[in-house]
Amino acid sequence: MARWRDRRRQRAVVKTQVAKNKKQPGVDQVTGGKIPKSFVFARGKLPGPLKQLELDLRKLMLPYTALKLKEKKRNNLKDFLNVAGPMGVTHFLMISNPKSIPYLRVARTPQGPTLTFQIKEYALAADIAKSQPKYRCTPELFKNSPLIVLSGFGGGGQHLKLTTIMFQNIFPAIDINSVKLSSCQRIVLLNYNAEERLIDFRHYSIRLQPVGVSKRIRRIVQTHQVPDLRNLQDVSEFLTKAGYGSESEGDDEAATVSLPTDVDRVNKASNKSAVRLQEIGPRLTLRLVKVEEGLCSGNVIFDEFDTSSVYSVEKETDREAAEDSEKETSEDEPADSAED
Amino acid sequence: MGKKRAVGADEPTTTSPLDLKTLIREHSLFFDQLVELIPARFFLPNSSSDKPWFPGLSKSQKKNVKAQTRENILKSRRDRLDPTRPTSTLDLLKKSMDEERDSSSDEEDDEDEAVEEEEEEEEKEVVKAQSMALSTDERPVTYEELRERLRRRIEELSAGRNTRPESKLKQERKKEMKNKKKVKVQTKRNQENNKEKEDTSAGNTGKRKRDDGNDANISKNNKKKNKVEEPTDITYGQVRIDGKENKKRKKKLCKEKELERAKRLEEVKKDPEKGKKVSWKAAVSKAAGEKVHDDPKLLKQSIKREKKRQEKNKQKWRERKETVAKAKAEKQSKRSENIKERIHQKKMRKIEKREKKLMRPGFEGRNEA
Repeated sequence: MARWRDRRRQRAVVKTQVAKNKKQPGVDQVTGGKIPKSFVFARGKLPGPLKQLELDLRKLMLPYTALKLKEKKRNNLKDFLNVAGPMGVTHFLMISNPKSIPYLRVARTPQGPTLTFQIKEYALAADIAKSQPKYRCTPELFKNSPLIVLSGFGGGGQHLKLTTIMFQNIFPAIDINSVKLSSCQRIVLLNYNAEERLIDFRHYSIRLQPVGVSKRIRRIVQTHQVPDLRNLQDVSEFLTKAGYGSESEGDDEAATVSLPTDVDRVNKASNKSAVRLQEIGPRLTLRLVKVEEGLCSGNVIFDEFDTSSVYSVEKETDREAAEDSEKETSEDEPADSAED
Repeated sequence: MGKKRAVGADEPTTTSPLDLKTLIREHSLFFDQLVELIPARFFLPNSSSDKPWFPGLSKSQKKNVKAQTRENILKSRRDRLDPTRPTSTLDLLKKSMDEERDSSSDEEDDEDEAVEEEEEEEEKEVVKAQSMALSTDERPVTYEELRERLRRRIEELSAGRNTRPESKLKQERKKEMKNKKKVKVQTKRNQENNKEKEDTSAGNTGKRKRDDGNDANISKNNKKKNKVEEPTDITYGQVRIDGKENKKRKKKLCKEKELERAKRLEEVKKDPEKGKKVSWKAAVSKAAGEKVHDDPKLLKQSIKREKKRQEKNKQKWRERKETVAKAKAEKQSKRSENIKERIHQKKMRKIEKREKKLMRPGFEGRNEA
C-alpha cells in the first residue's frame, strides 16, 4: 500500500538545511586543520524552556552548525550518524530530559567519547536579554565562531582534562598570525568550581572601547553623525560637558589592552582600548556525570555518583598519587569498574 | 527708540517716576531680547550696499565683482566668528544708530539719546550676562587645559568608586584555597622526597600548571596582557602558532597488525588499572580528533571490506585482460580473413581475364582450350 511504503521511506530521513548559497568549508584555509562542525538536537520530548535552550545553544555554535536542523520523532542516533559522515560533522550536542532532569551530552561523532553533563541550572538568552537594560546582540556577532576560555580545570582528574580537550576542539582553532581582531566577537567562558564540582558556562560578546575618549566624541567618530548643538553656546561646552568619560572609566588596568592592529574606526593600533564583555546567550551550570568511551555506548570510564567505582573523583586523585609514589598496585580498590 | 518713548507715554500717571523707570527698563529688555532673535540682515535696513546688478556687466567687470563677492563672504565669515566685533542684532542696530547720529548734524534730543545710550549699554551688559554663562573673561582656554581638567575629574570620580568588590572577594578566597592546597602538596612532597622517588603526582603537575598559567602547546590569547597575575589556571582555546604543524606522522601499521594490537588492548582493558589508563588515553586522543583504532570489531569489518575491494579489483583486471585479448584475436582473424579474400579475388580476376579472351560467340561454356 502506498501509505505503508511512504512511512517506511520516511523513517530514515533527517532533514537538514544548511545555508543554500554558501558551501561551508571543511578545511580551514588558514590553519589547514579540519573545521569542527556540530549538530545540536534533542533526544526525546523536551518541555518548552528546554527547547528554547536547544535553540540558544544552536545559535551559540554558529556558524559551524546546522541552524535549522529538523528532526523527526523516529530519527534515532544512527540516522544522525549517517548524515554526519558526508557533511563532516564532528560533534553532537544532545539535550534530553529523562525523569525531568535535563542532561546535556557532548560527543565526538565517529567513535568518540561521550561526556554527560547534568544541567543543574540554566537561564535562557531571552531572560538574560530582558534583565539587561542595554542588550546588544546583532546577527553579525554570529558570523564568526567564539573564543573559548576555561578556568579552574587544571587541578587533577582525567575527567577534567578530557573536558578541556573536548571543549577546546568544538570550536575551530585560531591562527595568531593571520586572525583579524574584529572577527573575535564572542567568547565562551567555562569555570570549574572545585568544591561543588560544578562547571559554569557563560557566553559573552566582546566590545572594544577606546580609553580616554569621551562618549560624545567617540560617537561622532563612529557614526559620523552631526551632533545637536542647539542648546549650547560654544563648542567647548560640547567637549567638556561630556560627563568626563563614561561611567566605568575607572576600570583597573587589567581590562585594558593595547591593540596590535586597527580594529575599526575608533580603536586604532597601539592605542589603549578597554575590553567590555556583555552577556548574551544562555547560562548553564553543569555537573559532569558520566564519561563513556563510545558514542552513547561503550564502557563507562567515569561515573560521578557511583562511589563503588574506581573512577570516582576523590578516590582517583588519591589513587593516582599513591600509585605514582609507590609504583605498586594500590590496595584499596574493587576489581572492576562499573559496567552497564 | 520710538517704541520706548511710546511705551513711556502710555504708562498710567499714578506710578512714581522710579517705578516708571524700572518698568521702562523691563520693557526695553524684553524688546531687546525680541530684537536679538531676529537675524540682523532682516531687521536692519539694507542701506549700505546697492543691489548688485550682474547681467549687464562685461566679462572683466563680472570677474571683479565675483572676486569682490568672494572676499565679502570670507570677510563676513571671519567677522561672524570674531569674538571682539559685535554680531548680535542689537549691537548692529546700535552701530547703525551711531552712524546716523554722526552723519546728521544736530538733533533735538541729543541729550536724551546720550542718556538712552548709556541705559542701552547697561541693559545690554545685563542681557549679555544673563544669556551667556561661560565665555567672556577666560577667552583663550587652551585644549591642554581642558584635557587636564578632564583627567583630574576622572581621577576624582574613580577614587571615590570601589571597582569590582566581588572580584576582590573571589581573589581572596582563591588565594586561601591555593594556600591550603600548597600546604597539602608540600607535605606530600616531603614524604616523597623522604622516600627518594620522583614526584610526578597529579597535585604537583596541577601546581605547576597553576604557576605557568598555560599549557605547552597553547599560547596566550593575544588580547589579554601577560603581566597580569592570573589567580587560577586558565586554558584557552586552540591556537596555532607556527605555520607547519607536526612534521612527524604516526607510523601507520597495516590492518592486520592493528587488529592484533587492538585485540591485545582489549585484553589489557579488562585489567583494572592499566586498562583504565589505556581507556583514558584513547578517550583523550579521540576527543582531540586523532583517529584511534582500538575496536577489533570495526577493524575486522574494515579488513573484510578491503579484501572485498581487492577481490573486485582483481576480477575487473581479469575481465579487462580477457576483453583485450578477445578483441585482439578478433581483429587478427578479421585481418587474415580479409587478406585471404583479397588473394583469392586476385586469382579469380586473373582467371577471368584469361577466360574473357576465349568467350567468343558460339564457344561459351567451354572449360578447356
